[in-house]
Amino acid sequence: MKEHSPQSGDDRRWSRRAFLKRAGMTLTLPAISGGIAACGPFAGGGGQSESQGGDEGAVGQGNKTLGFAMINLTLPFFVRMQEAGGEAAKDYNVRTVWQSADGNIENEIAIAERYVQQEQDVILIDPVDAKAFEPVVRQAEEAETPVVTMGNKVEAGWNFNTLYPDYENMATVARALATALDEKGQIAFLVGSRGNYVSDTREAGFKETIEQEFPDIELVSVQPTDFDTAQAQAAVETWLTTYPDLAGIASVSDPLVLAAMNAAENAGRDDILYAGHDGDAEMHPMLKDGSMVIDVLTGAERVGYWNVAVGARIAKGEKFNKELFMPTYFVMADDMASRLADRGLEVDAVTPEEATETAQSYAEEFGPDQPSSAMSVG
Amino acid sequence: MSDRPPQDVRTLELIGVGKSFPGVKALDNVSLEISSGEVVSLVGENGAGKSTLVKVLAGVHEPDEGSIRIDGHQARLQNPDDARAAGISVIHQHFSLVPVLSVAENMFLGRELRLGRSGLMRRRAMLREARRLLGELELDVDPATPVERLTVGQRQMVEVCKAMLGRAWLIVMDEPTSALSTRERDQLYALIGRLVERGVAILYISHKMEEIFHLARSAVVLRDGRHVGDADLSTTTEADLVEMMVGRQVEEVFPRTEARSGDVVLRVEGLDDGGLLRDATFSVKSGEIVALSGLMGSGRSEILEGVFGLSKLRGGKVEVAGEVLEAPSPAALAARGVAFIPEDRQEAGIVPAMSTQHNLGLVWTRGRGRAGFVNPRAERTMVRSLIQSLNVRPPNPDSAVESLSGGNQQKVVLGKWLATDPRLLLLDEPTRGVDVGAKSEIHKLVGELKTRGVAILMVSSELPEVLGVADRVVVMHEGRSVAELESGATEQEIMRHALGSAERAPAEHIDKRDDAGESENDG
Amino acid sequence: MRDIRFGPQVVRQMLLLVTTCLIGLAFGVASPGFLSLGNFLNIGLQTAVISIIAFAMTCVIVAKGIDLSVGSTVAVAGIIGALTLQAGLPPLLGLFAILLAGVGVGALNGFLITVIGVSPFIATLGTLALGRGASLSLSGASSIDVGQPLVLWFGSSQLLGVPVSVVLSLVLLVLFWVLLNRTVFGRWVFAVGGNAEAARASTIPVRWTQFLTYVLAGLAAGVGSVITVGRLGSAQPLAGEGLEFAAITAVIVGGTKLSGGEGSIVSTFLGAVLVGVITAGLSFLGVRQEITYIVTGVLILLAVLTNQVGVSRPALWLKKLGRVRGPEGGAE
Repeated sequence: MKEHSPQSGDDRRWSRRAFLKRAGMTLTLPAISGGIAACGPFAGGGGQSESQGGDEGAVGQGNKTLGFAMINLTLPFFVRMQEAGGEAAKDYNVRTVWQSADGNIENEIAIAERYVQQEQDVILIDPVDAKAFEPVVRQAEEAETPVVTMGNKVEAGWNFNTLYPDYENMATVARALATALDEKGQIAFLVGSRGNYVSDTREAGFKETIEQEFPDIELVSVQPTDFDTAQAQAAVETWLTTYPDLAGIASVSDPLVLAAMNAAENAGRDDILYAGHDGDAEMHPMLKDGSMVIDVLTGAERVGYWNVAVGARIAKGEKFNKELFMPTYFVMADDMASRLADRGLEVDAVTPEEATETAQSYAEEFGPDQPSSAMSVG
Repeated sequence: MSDRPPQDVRTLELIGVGKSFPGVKALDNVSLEISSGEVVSLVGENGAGKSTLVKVLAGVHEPDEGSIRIDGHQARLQNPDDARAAGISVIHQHFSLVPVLSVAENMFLGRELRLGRSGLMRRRAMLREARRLLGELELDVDPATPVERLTVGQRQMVEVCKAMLGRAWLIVMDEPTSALSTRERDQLYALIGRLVERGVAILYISHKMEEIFHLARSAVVLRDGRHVGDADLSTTTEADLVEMMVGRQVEEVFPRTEARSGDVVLRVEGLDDGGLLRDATFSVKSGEIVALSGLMGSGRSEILEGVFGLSKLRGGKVEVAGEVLEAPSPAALAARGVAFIPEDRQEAGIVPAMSTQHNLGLVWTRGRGRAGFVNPRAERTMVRSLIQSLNVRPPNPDSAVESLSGGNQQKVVLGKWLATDPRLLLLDEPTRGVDVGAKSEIHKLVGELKTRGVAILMVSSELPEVLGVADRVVVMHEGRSVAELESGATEQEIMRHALGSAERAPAEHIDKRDDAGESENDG
Repeated sequence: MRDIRFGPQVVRQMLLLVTTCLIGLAFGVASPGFLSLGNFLNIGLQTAVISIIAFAMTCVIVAKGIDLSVGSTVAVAGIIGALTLQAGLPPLLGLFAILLAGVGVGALNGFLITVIGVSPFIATLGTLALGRGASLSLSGASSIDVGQPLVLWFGSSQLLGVPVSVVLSLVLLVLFWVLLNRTVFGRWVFAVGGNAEAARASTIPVRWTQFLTYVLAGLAAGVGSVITVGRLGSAQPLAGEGLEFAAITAVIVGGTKLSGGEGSIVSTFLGAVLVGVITAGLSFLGVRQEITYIVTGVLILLAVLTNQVGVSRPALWLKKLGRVRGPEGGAE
């Protein structure tokens, strides 16, 4: 970690990702409780496009159309998501239409309403606000058009929710960090923004697990950062002076962890343990050198491919539960995994190298040859 | 930069120049000649076409007829740049200086000295030049001072310097002394003298006979846009010049209507608005036209505004039909049957984008509909009869007022108030800027109101109008009502009082006012 | 008889109507399903709030003002209403709270502009930010559920198959038309915007009239907020984003000039519908959002250009070209 400061700029993906997350937070403000940033897909600013899957004039079950109502399509996260979604459309031989509401919730609802009107085969919505989309989901129900709400749980009965096992994942993250700290000492937690479904769920998973299972661990502070690395860094700087014995820092999203590491390094602290979420590749060195205990792999491309895959399969008549959870992976270095195992915590984790592999192999993981069951865990 | 006096004599000639606007012939066959080193005066009543002529010289208007010659050569002044290039500069009543910039910066505005072709200004060189020119013209102004800190008179000097810097040889001064103190006026005279010595020609526009005779060698007289003649001021008397200016038979344009006057409708005592208006006392009876006369800035219009509640009064009393109004407001006055027709038609009279009907109904509609609704049919009937009685052309209630001629617009402004059947009419310059035909129509109308027993208080700068229609004339001087003249008074009488050269008659009622004020305080 | 006052408005309205129909037809050809009752109702639904606010905005602009705060007023009014409902007040009072909050912001605007003398642009830019900030902080930056059927009715129900909000916008179209064209107040609005000095000299309470136009705008934002809350089933702190732009666009496309004194509610309504049809049509074709912005921009410029040259006053254009001045220039 010492040689890998976020400013070193030796990793192109870092800067790109960091930009995404930062921009993500700006747009999360507008999008408030959207499922943005973290792994949380979908929120933010503008654009729209269309991609044709399959060969021209393909026969068979092709020419089903999936309409995506997005809050944003220009941020890198969404661009990568859409790119991978395009691959999925090709693999599944469906057409996808992507429209962006450019950050405006009324616009996004209007887009969804038009999809209902246009009789799209499946409508996929990245809901900025869960409650606000219930009326349009009911409208789709009347038209018998399947709806998938992505990353944010809309309780309208009709729709499918594509979610992540966030609560359970963060519970495991909490356990791993606590175990690595010998189940004692002070820790602190960086979250995104209150009201953001993804951030709130992850916070609950982490916080409740620490409180219930680790009485000797003191969670001294939970700080919302609006997914802003600058805010995160400032918060950590304050912590380091207020809590000189701080032993661990966890976060709902990797860029915030990087900000924390940066603050600690500036303060000359190299004894703090970290835990994060997202599975960003730039975390791998820290996982390997032992300063970062655990990470959770989601990934923009996987999110994009998975959602198109789910939508395509629904369009073709496959049956699913109303809630689907995307398979995610814990990422840990081997020696960290065995150290935790020695202390009685078994985590089914992949190594950073395997994580890199997995992040790129979404097409095999969620491809058309896979059974329906591969689309969801739990 | 050369500011040395131009050595050769230059000449400007206008030959048979004419200019028409829709519905108005503003200039008709006007000829004029002016050469370096002379002061020529341009005189005429309001609306005689002086401003149009100035605009022709400034390149704002291009004449439709006739020709302009400069130094014997045919010239066209198609835009202000042409005029500037020809060495003609106009000093307007409203200055064209930028208040926040310094004197020097203003003088060099648009022709800044630059370092080569760069955009960098040679500030010190400009300051030096400005200082030298100010010195040569013996003006005591620091070129580094921001213009906003100068007095009105000093600003005018700066304007003149700016013109000189632009190598102007002909400077047109439009009513230059109207806002000046006596001392500043004398300084201006001195400056004009120095300019003439340097071979500059001055075309001097003024109402004030005294100035004209003091400064100018000859006068060009305009009347109703026509060029009535030139007067050699060394041989012409003041009375002759006025005769030439007024010319027409006053009775035709300003017909007097006889009516029996009745009770006092308006009485004002010691009006004081803390500004131009200091102390005015007079009354108006029903069936009577009282004119307020005086120089510009003597507080005439302020009386009307104060009475109608458009400006706050510091002191004095307004009494309408025997009722003393503590705090006059337009709504309160309107409710008591008082109508106000402001001076500036464009600014305060009409709503240009609205139709004739809606303009005529502006005051009428209030309180006439049920629950705030306009009754369109009743309004239409009212408007149709008004249009007919006012002879508004075109007689279409739906035509936009901005498309009407000035005279017809003024009729609409009048009509707006006539619709409410007023008992007191406050008229501010009712015929300014309208042509002769409309003038007489408007006054016929005012005369009709008078016979119907309406009390009329009118402000007018046109002495023939004042003398022609008014039953009594209240003369204002420096914010005070200094004299009350019965009809039949002469222009000279009025002017004498207006200029403050008459005996101090009003001392009496100043005292009265003070007494009243004291007793009010005691009570 | 020349008909100068009403001529251009009628011409413009016909032009808007024909343009809207032609564009609608073109979209219908290009994309089946566009010309369906369901889609028309959708467009109405999506345009309802914009139209309602644009009606009031027309009054404000005719009176020579501008109100940039309407969008954030929609949000803050909704949040305040939702909070009163959360506090247990009956639904009817919640509705009133929303409207009252809108009126409150409008009155604040009116106060700043007519009493303090802040320029309308600056004052409402201030309340725009203020409203957004207030709605975010009052709501804790997250949406507030609203469940009361009475409150939701306006934004979520239908009358004989037509969304209530569409019916409401048509009712308000009539009411605003009557207000501007048949009441003394409406006359004052035109007079104040056309020439405030003349209005004052005609004993019209100029500032009071301007004040009321802002209150109207606030009230319209309140009505818009009620519909939005109903539509979203919740009060959103970021509702109404960009609504001021949409409303002003409708007003300008409708031919109302920002210089005041002229304008028409019917034209504004047609302007809103035209923009709505174009937005929906482009979206039907799957055109990107950026293109929609560009089209809207071009539409605004076209509207302004036709307003200045083509339809209403070609003479003015010629005058400008020829550097000829009006008759007033001719007299002293």
